[in-house]
Amino acid sequence: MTALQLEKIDKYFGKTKAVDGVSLEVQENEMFFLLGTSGCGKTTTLRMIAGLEQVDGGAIRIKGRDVTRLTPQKRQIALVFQNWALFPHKTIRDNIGFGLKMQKQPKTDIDAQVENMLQVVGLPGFEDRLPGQLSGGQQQRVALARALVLNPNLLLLDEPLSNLDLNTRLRMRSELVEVHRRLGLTTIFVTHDQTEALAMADRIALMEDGKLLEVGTPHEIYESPHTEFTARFIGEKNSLQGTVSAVSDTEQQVRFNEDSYLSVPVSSKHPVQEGDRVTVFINAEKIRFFKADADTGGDNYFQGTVENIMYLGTSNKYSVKLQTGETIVHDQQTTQDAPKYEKGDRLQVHLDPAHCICIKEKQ
Amino acid sequence: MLKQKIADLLEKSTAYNRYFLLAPPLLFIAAFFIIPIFWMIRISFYPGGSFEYEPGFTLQHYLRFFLDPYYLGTALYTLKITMLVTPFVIVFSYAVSYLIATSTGKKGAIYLMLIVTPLFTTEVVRALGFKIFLAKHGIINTILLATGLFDEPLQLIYNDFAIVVALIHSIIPYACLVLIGVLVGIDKSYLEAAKTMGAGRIKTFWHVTLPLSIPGLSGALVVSIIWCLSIYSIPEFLGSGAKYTMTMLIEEQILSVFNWPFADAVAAILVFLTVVGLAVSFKFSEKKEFK
Ligand SMILES: Nc1ncnc2c1ncn2[C@@H]1O[C@H](COP(=O)(O)OP(=O)(O)OP(=O)(O)O)[C@@H](O)[C@H]1O
Ligand SMILES: [Mg+2]
Repeated sequence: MTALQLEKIDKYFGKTKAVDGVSLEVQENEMFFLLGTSGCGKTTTLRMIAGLEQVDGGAIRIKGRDVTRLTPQKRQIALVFQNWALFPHKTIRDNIGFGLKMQKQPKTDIDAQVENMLQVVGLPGFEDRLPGQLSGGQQQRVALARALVLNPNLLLLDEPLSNLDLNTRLRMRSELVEVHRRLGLTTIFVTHDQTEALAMADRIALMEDGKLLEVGTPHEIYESPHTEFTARFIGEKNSLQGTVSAVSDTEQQVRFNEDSYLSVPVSSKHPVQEGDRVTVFINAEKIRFFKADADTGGDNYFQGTVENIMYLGTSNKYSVKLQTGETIVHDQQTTQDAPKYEKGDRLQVHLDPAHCICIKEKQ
Repeated sequence: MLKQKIADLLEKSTAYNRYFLLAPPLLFIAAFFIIPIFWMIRISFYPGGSFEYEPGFTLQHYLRFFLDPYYLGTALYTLKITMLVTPFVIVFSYAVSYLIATSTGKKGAIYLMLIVTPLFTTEVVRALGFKIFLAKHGIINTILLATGLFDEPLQLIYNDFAIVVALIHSIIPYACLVLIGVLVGIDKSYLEAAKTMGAGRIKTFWHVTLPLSIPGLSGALVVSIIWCLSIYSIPEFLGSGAKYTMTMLIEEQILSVFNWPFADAVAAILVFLTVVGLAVSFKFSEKKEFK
């Protein structure tokens, strides 16, 4: 059963179209991510799902029920705000119990559920504190508890981790995934952080400029993006521009200049014709280096010169100028047996055709 | 921008620099407020009476104030006016501020203009305005007679009613300025959070907006108390003349009777009452300040 269905929803703020015909379906118990750059309309989409903004077109269904015109109170959703919005004047107990109190549940029931929820998020005994007396990570958990205690149809999270320091953020990621796995709650998670999305999502929807570009599993989005925007946005990809010089049933040849070209398998996702200008994308970690004098031969090897090396701890980031005139970057793990190159070294670069994505340029 | 710069400057400055920067206003306050008040308190202990007093120490002026029912009555009358006016000020200014803080676009700005405009006139002008407004053949009475509900004009002026109405009217703009700031500052996401958790408008107001506006309410309380205790022109122009507020008593003692030590003693008591009023309101708001 689909937990949430958006049908061509639109939102205007004055003349700007913040959300433009977004349609998507989220399955029961899914951890679904809305990913995109700042200002692309993620928050607006989430707020429309919550009912805090009215749609200007389209329909929203939660568990099959049309909620397009319902107020937030009637949608049985829970929203965790980016700033968590814990009531500063209420204790943790009253914050978490607020929704239950609105449902007129008896006080003893509320207290029991609050206590239970604080166990779930790992903050037992914090009932009587005020939000201002908690750390950021603890406040985040209280906000989560306040949402979970209502047992909502949908849990909506708007960049809930972006106010935390890196370590806490990483810990909260796995805790959120763990809580989600245990409670099995349909969750919509908004973020602009692609590593967060790749690490946590069942599926990711990528948004740009109010539009939904594509939906897929983290693997699909990362390895075989549909659109050029996704290819550029996700991961650290190298892009090389060339022209399709030959197309066969299985292979297509992309020529960069007189004496360098690349053979990549034909992709049904991205059909091209001879003469098309294309961009070839390949992830930085998918490139391989060989010594300049190594006897490699064959297709898809390029001569290059190391221009710059950046030490990143777990990897070295090499910038290499290719014979085609373009510069590519490659992340090489700093393991013991990895060969080391110095600035100015000449080497051969292998672009594995299986990992090359060849997308036709827009006219 | 400028505010930010000053804040940065203060942040960076050492303690020494900070006092250096604060010196001009501190000196100003010391010269024109603190020293005169201590001077006044000193004179209130000098023996003497009308036209004459000499250095010394006596409690005679204070005893006179507290033992004479007439003088003590001015204090009680002042407090009575304060207690009549303040609840109305709080309720009215809260309602108006809430309207302004929640109205969108140009409407809010227009309401705010309407609230602030009376502040362009002085207290005396406003008191005289009320004199015309509430007079026997003033606007209010003309309207009331025209409706046929009354056969003869009501006595709306030269009584407590006139004082209370004019005071409420005078204080509301100041109380509003305090309250609007606090109400506008309440993060919308608190209200939205309450909504998503099933609270309707009234419950959201009661559980979220109202408690979060307590700092503003106590500010309005302070404003109201200070005004009620210290205002002179309104009771002077609109009162019956039979009952004196403390400010009127002070004026009379200084300008008509020339009993400066006694006037100073009354003024010192008034300052003391004001301080107590402020302390109580701060105490009230202290527990309700949130981070
Ligand atoms: N209340 C509003 N009034 C006018 N314009 C708005 C309003 N809210 C959002 N917008 C505009 O709509 C667009 C989408 O905003 P939205 O907040 O949804 O972006 P976002 O994807 O959440 O960005 P971020 O990652 O920065 O939070 C932006 O161009 C923004 O300026
Ligand atoms: Mg946002």
